[in-house]
Amino acid sequence: MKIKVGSIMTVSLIALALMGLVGCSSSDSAAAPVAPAAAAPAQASSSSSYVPAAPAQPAAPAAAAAAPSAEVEATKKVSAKPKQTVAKTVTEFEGGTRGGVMKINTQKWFQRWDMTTRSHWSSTQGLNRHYSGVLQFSPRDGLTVTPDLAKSWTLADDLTGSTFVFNEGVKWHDGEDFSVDDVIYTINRWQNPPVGVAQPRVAGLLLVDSMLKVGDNTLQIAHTKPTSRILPAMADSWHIILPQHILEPAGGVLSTGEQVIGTGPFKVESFSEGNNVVSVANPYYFHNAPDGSPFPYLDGITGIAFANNDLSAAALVTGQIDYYTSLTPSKSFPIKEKRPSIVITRWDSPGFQGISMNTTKAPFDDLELRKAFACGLNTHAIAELSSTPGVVPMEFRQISFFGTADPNYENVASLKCVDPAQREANEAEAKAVFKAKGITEVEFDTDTLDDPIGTIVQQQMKALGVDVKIVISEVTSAREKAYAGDTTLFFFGQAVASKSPVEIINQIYRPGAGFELYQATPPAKWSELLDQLDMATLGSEEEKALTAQMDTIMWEEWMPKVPIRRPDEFQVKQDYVRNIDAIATAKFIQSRFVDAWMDK
Amino acid sequence: MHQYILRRLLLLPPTLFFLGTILFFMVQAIPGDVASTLLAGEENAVDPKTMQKFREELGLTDPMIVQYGRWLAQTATGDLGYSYYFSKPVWDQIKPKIETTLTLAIFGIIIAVVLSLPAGVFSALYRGSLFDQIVRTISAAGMAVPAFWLGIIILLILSRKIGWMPPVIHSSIFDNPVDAFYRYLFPSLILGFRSAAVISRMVRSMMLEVLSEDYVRTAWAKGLQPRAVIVGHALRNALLPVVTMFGMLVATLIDGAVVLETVFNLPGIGLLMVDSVIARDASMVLGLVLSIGIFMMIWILLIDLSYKVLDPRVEYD
Amino acid sequence: MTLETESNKKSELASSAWRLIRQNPAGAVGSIVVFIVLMGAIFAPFLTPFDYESFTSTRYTKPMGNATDRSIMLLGSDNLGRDQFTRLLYGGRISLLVGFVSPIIGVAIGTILGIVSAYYGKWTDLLLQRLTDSLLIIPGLVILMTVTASFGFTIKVVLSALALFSMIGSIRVVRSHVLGLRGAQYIDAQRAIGSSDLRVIFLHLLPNTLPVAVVLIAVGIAGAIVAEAQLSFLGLGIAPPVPTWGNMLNGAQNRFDLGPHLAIWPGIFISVTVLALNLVGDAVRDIMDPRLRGRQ
Repeated sequence: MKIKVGSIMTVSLIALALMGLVGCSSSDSAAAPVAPAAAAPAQASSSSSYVPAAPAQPAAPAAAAAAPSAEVEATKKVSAKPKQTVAKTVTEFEGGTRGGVMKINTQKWFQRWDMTTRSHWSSTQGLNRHYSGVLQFSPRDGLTVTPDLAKSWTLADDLTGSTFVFNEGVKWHDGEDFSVDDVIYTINRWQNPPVGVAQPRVAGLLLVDSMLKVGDNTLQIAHTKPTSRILPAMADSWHIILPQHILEPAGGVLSTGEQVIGTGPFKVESFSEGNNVVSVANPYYFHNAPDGSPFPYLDGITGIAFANNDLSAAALVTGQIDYYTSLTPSKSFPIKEKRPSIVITRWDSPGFQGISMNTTKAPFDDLELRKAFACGLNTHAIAELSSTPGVVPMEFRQISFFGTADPNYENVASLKCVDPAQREANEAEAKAVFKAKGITEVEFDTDTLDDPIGTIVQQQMKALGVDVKIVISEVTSAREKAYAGDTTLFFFGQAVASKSPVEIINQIYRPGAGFELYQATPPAKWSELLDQLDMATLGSEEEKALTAQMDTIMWEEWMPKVPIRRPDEFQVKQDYVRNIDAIATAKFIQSRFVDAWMDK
Repeated sequence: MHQYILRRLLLLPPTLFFLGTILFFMVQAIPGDVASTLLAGEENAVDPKTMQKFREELGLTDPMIVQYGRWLAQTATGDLGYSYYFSKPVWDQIKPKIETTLTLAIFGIIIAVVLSLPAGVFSALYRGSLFDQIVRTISAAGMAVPAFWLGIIILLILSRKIGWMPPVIHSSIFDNPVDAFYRYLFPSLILGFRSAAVISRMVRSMMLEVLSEDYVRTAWAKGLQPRAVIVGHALRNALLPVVTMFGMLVATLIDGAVVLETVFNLPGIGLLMVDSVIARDASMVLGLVLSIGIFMMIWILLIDLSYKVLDPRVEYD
Repeated sequence: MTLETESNKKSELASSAWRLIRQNPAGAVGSIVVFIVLMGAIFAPFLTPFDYESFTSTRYTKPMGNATDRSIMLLGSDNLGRDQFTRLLYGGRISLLVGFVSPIIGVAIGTILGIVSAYYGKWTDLLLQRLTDSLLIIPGLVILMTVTASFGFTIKVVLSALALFSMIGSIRVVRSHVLGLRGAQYIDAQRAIGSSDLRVIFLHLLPNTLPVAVVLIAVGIAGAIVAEAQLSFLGLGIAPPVPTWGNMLNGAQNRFDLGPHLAIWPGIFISVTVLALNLVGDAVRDIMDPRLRGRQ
């Protein structure tokens, strides 16, 4: 990314020009692409083709914008002869023995052998290591789009199409040859799944209008609209390529572990339904390490599902598992006391938790009341009470409207109604509004059984003269109720697979996008800014300015949701596990483990 | 005898029909359906149009009576149906889990019998003694302590204080007996202990009753060896009513398995049941409960028949 | 059991009660414990200075630690700084309410259905028997889970589910008891003199079935409390923030290392109460069912 991004000025100009040219507006972008914002200007400025170049630097988002355009030119020269791109490894390999069998906790059992039919992260943790995608996000930064099955790609100048050139000689785990037809078959299946098969993460792939196989290893894709988000859509961890020769005879449905045949670094050796999947290194894996040695380094991975966190913690203490991508601090830190060699790494999750207010029915169809409720809540106290005592900084953080991905995140405390100095005034004001409007009782729906959020909100609102009635149901019925518009206040959480504010917006605020509740339509001005944000460079000053403006509109004119908090994630591993570092979206991306190894 | 078995077997279909019908309509009351679980129940949600299309394809929008008729016709042919949640036929999902739960239950029963028989017999023989008091106290406590709580406490003591816990990778007792033994050890001990508490009380009271019967007194009076009297006369007769208990004991064991499989991460029927209920997978819940029903009915029939073997005087009308 | 007059029965009960204390000290101890737990739940507001839902101290305060207002917290505080002892008392209200009320309702309905089934026979009996047969073979927890998942995690639903469960069990027992009575001469006599069915059922069969019902209730209470705890532990019982012993244990699960007291005490409360109830249940059975008298 760093390599291709021009200066901010150029980017903005081209972005604006492009918008004018292709008339791309957000009103026709109904799908929810999973996209780092930077991709669009990146393609625009380098005019046509992205060609992977020798080891990409782990792109710090802020640094990305500052890359000089000269470097872009330099890269373009290499393009005639593309090299393997691998995002830089954090701990470079320094001798010793590569290998070992790593036992990882893959959270709860994934329930379905076809990981594309689930959107929970236990699914990628459990199965992703057996597959490859067309492209992949770098496991080192969670943002850079790097090659996978496709070794290079080109976007049309007007962004209405793209071309992917695939690696040759790739084989499926059962020895069959991989071909572009598999890609076409898989994407078709994503768009038109067999009866009874759900594809909850299809959104990005809906940008594909038609596909054409050119020659043996080239695929041309026509987009449904001018977009550069096709790249992150192809790199999404869920958008793996499945084998046509396995799926077709099975009616398009994978129902057993024997059918888990991929092109990924590991292949299934054996499995015990409901408990574990034992995988061994795929000797014919098509990617190599930068030094030319074959990936993966590990001899195998055993993924174990756990019914509860108490057991996972016990297994870590007794050394029975080596790595767990996300364990609560209330479990992680006591483990370290029992087994000091454990390494705990904290990583930013771009997750977002908030309360949706139903703007379509009383009482929260009233903007003034929405503001009062949002300002009356003490989000700092909520974050503090939800955190494990003694963990500094707190595991839960306050957020602005766009979560950690918000460029204004560092200044969260300066946001309206978050400033601790204004707390008493805010509460007094909210109390007055509730009283004037005669609000004494309100229902609060949540799907989190083991979370004190409802109780905390209840206690805070009690002080403001409002009696909160908590309704707890499990995930499905709670959400079902919320989608139907039957809830008044609904507590929701959303995990996001990339650190881009655009993605948070796509998932939480964009009309027609996935996690939009109550069809709350944003003010026109806000939508315009969103269009601009789509084209802005990730981490740029322009992006900051845009989100700041959008923030203001949120508070003053819209206020559909109360941003509450987001959790830090805690990765736990034994000290002999090497080269698994904390990254932004480890739950979703760091699950192929090609360059990790065990040093014991 | 044959007629009796035939009649019992003939009762099976109507009982299952009732059970299935009640459950079918109960499960329909579950808010949402498989479409909402697959599409809305996870991290992402889809638009209502996709949801509606999904429902129509699966026939979930048909009137309930039509769905019931369809389910009935399909179940009548012995087909438990297809689970869209697990993407496979219901029976294919249940089959591999049976071994785990069965192993747990068999270990549990063995431990229960080993603990309860001597405890019950001796506390009856030495009624009022210290041994009797201790056995009764332990069995009263055994029935009172919730199994899942005991499980959690045991696990935490093991891992935090002793620094050891059973292997976390599941293995069949046939493939890796040592690992499997440790995996099943604690849950079956807890299951067995709880069942032993119930059985030992029953054995004790039956023994007391039998010991006061005339024929046992006669046996004592004839000067037979105590062992012969107890084993030959008393125990045999006292155990008969205990055998009937084994019918319902299995139901208790399945209950216990539901919670203990969750606590100890054993991939069996109990864990599957919890998963399917939480996932609102109506076809899986129906299929599971019907399978459990068939199993229980056959089991209870076998217990009743074993009566005949143990006590030839029993006649089946 | 034969026909008894009211006064007869009273004196019988009184003397039984006396016998209970004399002969069955365990039952007496059990009733005292149950009484204490009940009183604790009923008079909870007077027994503790804290509110069960307010955050009154720092979080995970150890037992005997201090609250914000310097008063002592007997059993410490939970993950939000709420007093655990207070929550156990209030949680006991729900657990005991569910535990006591559901078998009473269930057995009451079950008794009537059992009598009807036995008295009318024919298709009524057949239908009811197939119904109970079908549900009786399914392990209790499995039925309960299905009911709560279908209708929601509220007190009402859990209570009804447990009531349904004890109803199924009692129909069978009452039916066989009444079948024994039906043949009794006095019933035939009543019918001969033209008494209506209702009269026979309510004046003759019901009173004679009461002892059986009482035993069923006494035995059912402990079972209902454990069942509620198991359901809540699986996250399929009564949902927080209403405290019950079961969901307090559920909430303690992932926080054991920070506050072991949170996992230990609700378990102890359940165990002690259930133990006491079992002892009382045994004693009640001894009194009500003369055939079993003296066995234990």
